This record gives sequence, C-alpha cells and structure tokens, in this order.
Amino acid sequence: MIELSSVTKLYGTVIGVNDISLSLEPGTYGLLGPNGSGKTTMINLILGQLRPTIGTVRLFGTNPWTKSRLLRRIGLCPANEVHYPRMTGYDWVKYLVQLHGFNSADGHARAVTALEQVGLAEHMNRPMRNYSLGMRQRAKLAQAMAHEPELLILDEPFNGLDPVGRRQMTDLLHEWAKQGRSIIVASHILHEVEELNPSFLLISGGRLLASGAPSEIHEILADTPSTFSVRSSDPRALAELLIKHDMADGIEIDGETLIVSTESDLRIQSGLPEIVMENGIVIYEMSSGDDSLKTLFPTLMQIHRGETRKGTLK
Amino acid sequence: MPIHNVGYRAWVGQKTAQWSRWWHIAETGVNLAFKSTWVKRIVFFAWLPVLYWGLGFFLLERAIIASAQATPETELNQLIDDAGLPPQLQNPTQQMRRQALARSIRRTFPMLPNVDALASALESDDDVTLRNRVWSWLLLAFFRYPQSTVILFLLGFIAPGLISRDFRSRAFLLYFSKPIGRVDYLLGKLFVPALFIIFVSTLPALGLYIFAIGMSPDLSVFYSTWDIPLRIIAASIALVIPTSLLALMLSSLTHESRFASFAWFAIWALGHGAWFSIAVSQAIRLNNAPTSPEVLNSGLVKQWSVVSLYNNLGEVQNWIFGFSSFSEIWPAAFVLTLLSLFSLLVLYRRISAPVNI
Amino acid sequence: MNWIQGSFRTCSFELRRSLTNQRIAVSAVMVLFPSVILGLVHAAPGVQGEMPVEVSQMLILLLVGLVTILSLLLWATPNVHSELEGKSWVFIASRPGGRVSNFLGKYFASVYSSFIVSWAAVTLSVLVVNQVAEVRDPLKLWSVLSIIFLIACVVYGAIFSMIGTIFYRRGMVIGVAYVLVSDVLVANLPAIIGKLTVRYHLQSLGIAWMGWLFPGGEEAVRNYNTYFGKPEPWFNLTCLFVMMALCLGVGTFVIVSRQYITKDES
Repeated sequence: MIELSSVTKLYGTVIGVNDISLSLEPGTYGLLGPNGSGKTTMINLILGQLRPTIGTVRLFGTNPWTKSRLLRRIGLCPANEVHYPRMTGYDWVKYLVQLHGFNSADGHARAVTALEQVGLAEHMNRPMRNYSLGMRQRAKLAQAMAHEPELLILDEPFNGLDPVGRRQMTDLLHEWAKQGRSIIVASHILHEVEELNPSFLLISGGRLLASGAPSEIHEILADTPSTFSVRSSDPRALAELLIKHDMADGIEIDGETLIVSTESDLRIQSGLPEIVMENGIVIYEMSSGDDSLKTLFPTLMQIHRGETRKGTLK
Repeated sequence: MPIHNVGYRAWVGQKTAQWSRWWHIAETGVNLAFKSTWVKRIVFFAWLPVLYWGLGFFLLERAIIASAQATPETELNQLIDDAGLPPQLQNPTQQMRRQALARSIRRTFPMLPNVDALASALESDDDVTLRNRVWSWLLLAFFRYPQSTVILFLLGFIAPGLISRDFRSRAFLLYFSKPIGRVDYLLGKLFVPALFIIFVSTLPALGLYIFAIGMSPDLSVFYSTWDIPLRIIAASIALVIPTSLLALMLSSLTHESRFASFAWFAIWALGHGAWFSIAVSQAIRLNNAPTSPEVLNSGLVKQWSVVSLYNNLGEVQNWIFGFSSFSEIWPAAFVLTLLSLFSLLVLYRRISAPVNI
Repeated sequence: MNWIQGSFRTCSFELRRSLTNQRIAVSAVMVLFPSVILGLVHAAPGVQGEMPVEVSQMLILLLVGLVTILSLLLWATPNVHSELEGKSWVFIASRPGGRVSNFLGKYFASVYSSFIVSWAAVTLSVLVVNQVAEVRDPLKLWSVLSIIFLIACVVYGAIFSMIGTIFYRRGMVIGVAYVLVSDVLVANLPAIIGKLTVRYHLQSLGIAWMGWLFPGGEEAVRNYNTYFGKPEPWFNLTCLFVMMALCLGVGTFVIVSRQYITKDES
C-alpha cells in the first residue's frame, strides 16, 4: 500500500524526516512520536503534498506527487484547526466531498451520513465558530470519511475530545478497520492509539526508530527503566523482599505506598505475584507510571546509539 | 524528613522595570518581521535613494563652494547666457549668478514642489539661508517621494498581521496572562511599524544631514543648519504616528490579515484617487497640467486635498520643513490628528474587548 | 476532469462564504465611490466652468478601474495565503485536483464578484454623468465600459491569481506594486514595453469601440496614434486572451508543483 525507500525531507537546513524506508501493507498503523518528530512531514510525503528531497515514495504503487487522483482513495484528517467560522459543518463537509467529484445530491447524502457517523448530525447546521474543539474534531473526521476512502490518515485525532468522545472515536475507527479498510493514526500518546490494536511505527527526530506489533513494543517497554507505585498491607516487608530478590533498584516508602524504581519491568511483573503470595502481603493497588512514549523513546535512542544492550537492532 | 517545596517558586532575580516591558513586544515583532526576505529586500531598497540624495548634497556643496570662488568672467558666463541675463550686465556678481540659476530652475522645473521657495533661497546672497533652505528642500523631497512610497509598501507587509495574528491564534490569552497591560501591548505593537519607519526614513535623513555637513567647507555650517535634524525628527513623528496607528487599527479589526492589507491600500488609493480626480477636472477647467502649481493651489483642489492621506502627510511635512505656514496646512494637521485619535480609540477598544473564543 | 467540477464547487463555496455583512459593506463602498466622486467633481462647492464630457468618461475609467483593481486584489491575490493562514490548505490540497480547483475556483469567484462591483459602479457612474453632462450615447457608453471592465476583471484576475500563487505570503503587496509599475509607469511609455501592459490594450479597445474617450481633442488623438498606434480590436483581444491564458497556465503550474508549507510544518 505504502512504500518509502530511503526518504529524506529537508526544509532548508532543517531535517523533517531522515532516511526512512518502510513498506506498509493494508492494515491499522499507529505512527507514534513526540511533537516535532516528523509525523506530519511523513504524512504529507505519503499524500504527495511534499516531495522527498532524497528517496522515493509510492502510494498504491504510484508516485503520489505526480498523481493527485490517488487522493480519491485516501481520507485525511489533519491536526490543523479548521477555520471557516461562518460556514456550517454540513456546508464544509459537503464542499470537500464534492471536490472528489460527487454531484450535489451525492455530496449531500455522504456529508449527512458522515456527520451522523461522527455524532454531529444534530449540530451540522450551526456555524463552525460555535463548535467546541471536540465538535470541530468530529467535523474534520467526517470530511475525511465521507467519500469512503480505502486509507484513512488521522493526525492527532483525539485532540480536544473528552473521554466519551475518545471512546466513540475509537469505536468508530474499530468499525472502520473491521470493514477491511486501512488506518494510519499519528499521535504522541501511546495509550490513545493502543486501543486500536495497530502495528506501531515509532518515529523521533525524523527517523523511524522501531516498528512492530503492540506486543513487541511492550517487550521493549518491559525491558526499560521505569517506576511503579505499589500500595500494600505491609510496605516495609514488601520493600525488603523486593531488594532481597533483586527486583528493585530504588525504593521510597510513602505511607502505605512503595515507589519502586526498576531497570526492568519484566522482573517485577514476573516475580512480584510469587513473593506476595508466599509472604501473605496484600496488594491493594499497583500502577505503572511510565508505560508511555516518555520512557520508550530515550530507550530506543540508547539502543540505536549502542549505549544499552536491551534491544536488538534489525 | 525534610519536605522540599517543588511547587511554584517566585522569581527571585532582577525584573525589568514595568515601563520597559512594551519594548520586548516591539523587539520580538521587529525580529519576526525581519525574518521575512521580502522585508529585508524592501529595507535594502529603501536605503538606495540615499545614494541619489547624497549625490545631490555633494553637488550642491561643490556648487556653493565653486560659486564663492569663481571669477565672474569664467565658468558661469555660459549659465548666465542660458538664464537670459541682459547682455549689458558685463560684470555679474555672485548674487546675479545665483539669481540666474534660480530663474533657470523656475523655468526648467516649474512642476517641482516648492519651486518658488527653492528659487528664492538660491537668489539669496546669504550662504546660511541658501544652505538651510536647499538642504531642507532636498530632505523634504526625500521624505515625500521615495520614502513615502517605500513606507506604503513596508507597512503593507509588516502591519496587517501584527494584531490580527494575535486575534487568530488567541495570543491575547498569553500576552495578558503576563504582567503586562493593554498600554504595554499597544505600545509594543505600535513600535514595530514605527521602528521600521524610523529605520528607513529618519536614520537615512539624519545620515544625509551628517554627510552634507561632512561635505561642507567648515563646521560653521552646523550653526546655520542646526534646526534641520530637529525638523527631520518632527517630520518623522508626523509620519510615524498616524500611519502606524492607522495600520495597527486596521489589523485589529480583522482576524484575517488580507483584509487589513486591503483596507490599508484602499485608504491610500481611494483617498488619493478621489483627490486626483478633482485635480484633473480642475486642471481641465483651468486648461493646465494636473500637477501644475496653478491647479494644485486652486481653492477647490486644496479643499479636497484632505481626503488624501498622502497629501495630508506631505502638507504637514511641508510646514515642518518651513515651506508653508500653519494657517495653510491646518486642515491636513487636523485630519491627521483626528485620524490618529480615532485609530487609537478603536485600537484600544479592540484590544480591551474580551477575547472572542 | 475532476478539477473542472471542483473549480465550480470552489467558486460557489467561496461566493457563499463571502456573503457576510462586512464584505457586502466593502463592496457597497466600492460601488458607490466612483459615482460619488463624479458627483462631487460636477457639483462640489467652488466648481466653476464647464467640464467636457470626455473628462467624465476618463474619470469613470480611472475611478471604476481603481475599485476594480482593489476588488481583484482583495479576492484574487490571497488565493493560497488565505487557506494557509486559515490552516485549511491541507484539506483542499488532499483532494484529487484540489490545488487546481482551489486556484481556478477562486479565480472565477474573484472575476465574478469584482465584475459585479465594477458593473454596478459603471452603471451608477454613467447615470450620474448623464445627469450632469450631455453624454452622446449613454447606452453605448455603458455597454462598452461594461464589456471593457469584464475583460479587465478576466485578465487582471488571472494576473493577480498568478501573483497569489507565486508570492503567496505577500500577494496583495506585490499586486499593488505590479499595478503601479505596469499600469501607472510602463503603460505611459511610448515604447514597445508600454504595449505589453493590460491597460494599453483595454484603452485601445475602448477607443476602437467608443471613439476618443479622453480630453484633448484632435491633437491628443493624433499624439496617441503616433506614439501608441491604432491596432485592430481583434489584436488587442488576442493579446489579452494570451495574457490571461499564460497567467492561468503559469499559476496552475506553480500551484501544482509548489510545496506550500504551513507554519506548523516548517
């Protein structure tokens, strides 16, 4: 579906993406990376909005820069705020659908269906200046889906959505994926994308650092330094046991709660149940604070620089 | 166990004075504007006329020195012949030669602005008056023609986005979450176009003055021309305040900079177009060229001159450089004052209004 | 040909988008401006003597020309910048043929709305002039001026649209500079370069269809013909068509091949 070979994009002397090669078959993908990591540049390269400085991009087997008709098969929901204050959501979505070549009646039907799908039908005839951030986000999603593309590209789609909205958006995307269509979701928040169960593409500093299934990402995460907080019936005894079994590299006691720092999640995840059961300690609550990109990317960078042996480079 | 406060910590370093905070807004605005290649090009282009005017000052000073040293029989005889002095004047004095030059200028360049004042200065046998008037005339022309056009474009580039961009990006929320007031914001924004105007008109004009002093025979020239730098500064103020306030007001009225750009050019074009139409019709009635002094000084054309921002600025600068009296230009001064106050009022109201999210 | 449909959709969307009180007020000012000034020229206090009807005709051309240019500057030059500034460019550019649709659609919208302004301004101006002076054939004057301003909108619209794609951040300022240099300075030069301007061809068409439009009588006609020649209308029309096609072609090429980068990305 998408093929990038040694793609580099320079904005003057600033590097947008740096020597990226990948091949994506139809499916669901999560493009993850911190802000400014090159996600939007990569999306624009895939869409043919930008021309690679070096390398080649193929979308459905064709160069998207020269064949804009490929865009018929793609729906894009960019991260940009939409600014048509006086137009209604319906007018805007209908106009953008009609740019795909649909006549007025078809444009109307598709716009209304898409706005219903995203839960905006009730407000579609209100001027967009009266929309909340979440409503604008839904309108953006509607315009991307209305022409029923094969591939939906969403750049930070969860921005501005409340928890209910996020759930609805996730369900909608699940439905979309179930119909056999492809999705690429760019985000800087792992757990937002995780629920779609995608294959991950991890990008930072314009480089593709890693790619793989969620389990593979969790393997890397499990093997990275992190901090747990554990609330238990006997924090002091638990602290002693963790030190004794070499599961923790640092421990702080805060009332009932232990803050445990470890070089490897895996050791705690596999060893903790056994020792608490043997010693009759009750765990009330356990949370991992760092299961996110915050920990992942520095680790990946360390792996790439050869500073740690925790991962293997392909 | 010591408990460390890791929450908000008050700043313990030195703070800049409250009154100087607007400067940071201005500084940032200037830096941002100067990142544009086009602004750099315009600024470069704006300094080019300095070479031309510099040459003018150089030639003028050479001519004054030469005229003081020349013998009557030699190099100026041809000029006297050209000027049509009566042949019976066998032994022309320096004053006569200058009178001839003045007459020649009147005859050859009748369309020049303030040509009478220039010619009268040339007729004077007093180098002090001559220098002061001719320098003023040259500097007025510098302000009036190349620099006014440059400022029209420069402000068209810089000013439209200055406040509209803040509206659009809701930067007001950021600005006013800092310890700065509306006056600081307004002053900061106002100084962005003002500093550019100063850079392309006041500084080159002062540079030309210093160059002219350098070209003159001795430092005593300074005593006869000390008022000119003050006139340059006054003319700059007369230019900066109305134009900057107007441009900022237009920027504050919209979220889209293109409307501010459009309004900026429309005010100049429609105002001057209206005045020009009246001048043309009057010229045809008087059977003369539209730019001739007879037409320009006719009651009707002068009366309608106030609709042109360009003319109003020119007339006030004319007065500042001493080529007309206040009684002649008060309508222009009144219009510019009114425009400035109105712009300031609208501007203040716009930035005081609650931000519409 | 998706972009052809897309251009008309964009044009219709732009026209609906522009129906706001502010824009209607701006258009109303531009429509009224020439006729008000013409009225003042004839009836202002202090006006003395007769004014030949040619002067009024010339002023109609000057004043309506001014508002037409301003209207086109407002509508045509920000064709890319308004979308980049509103961060909506990527929504349009990610449609098949979206870039060309945006370019041509906004061009059509600019020509349409500017022509409405100039046509209304011409109509009012001819009515005013007909009231205060003896116009020989007011209907013919109105028809010829309407056609000339329609052609002006079509050609200048193409030029400004092209400028908007090349100098997309400062299109309006460059557009004003273009008008000053081309139509105020160069068009007055009695040389070949003067004949490359739009104003020269529009002026020639006006003279061919309407006779001498300006003051100055026989002598002015003779001087004009000596310096600028007396081309056939088909030649002027061909030149204007070539200019328009060239500008639209260049503008289309630029908008398709340029990587417009919004600030977020740069």
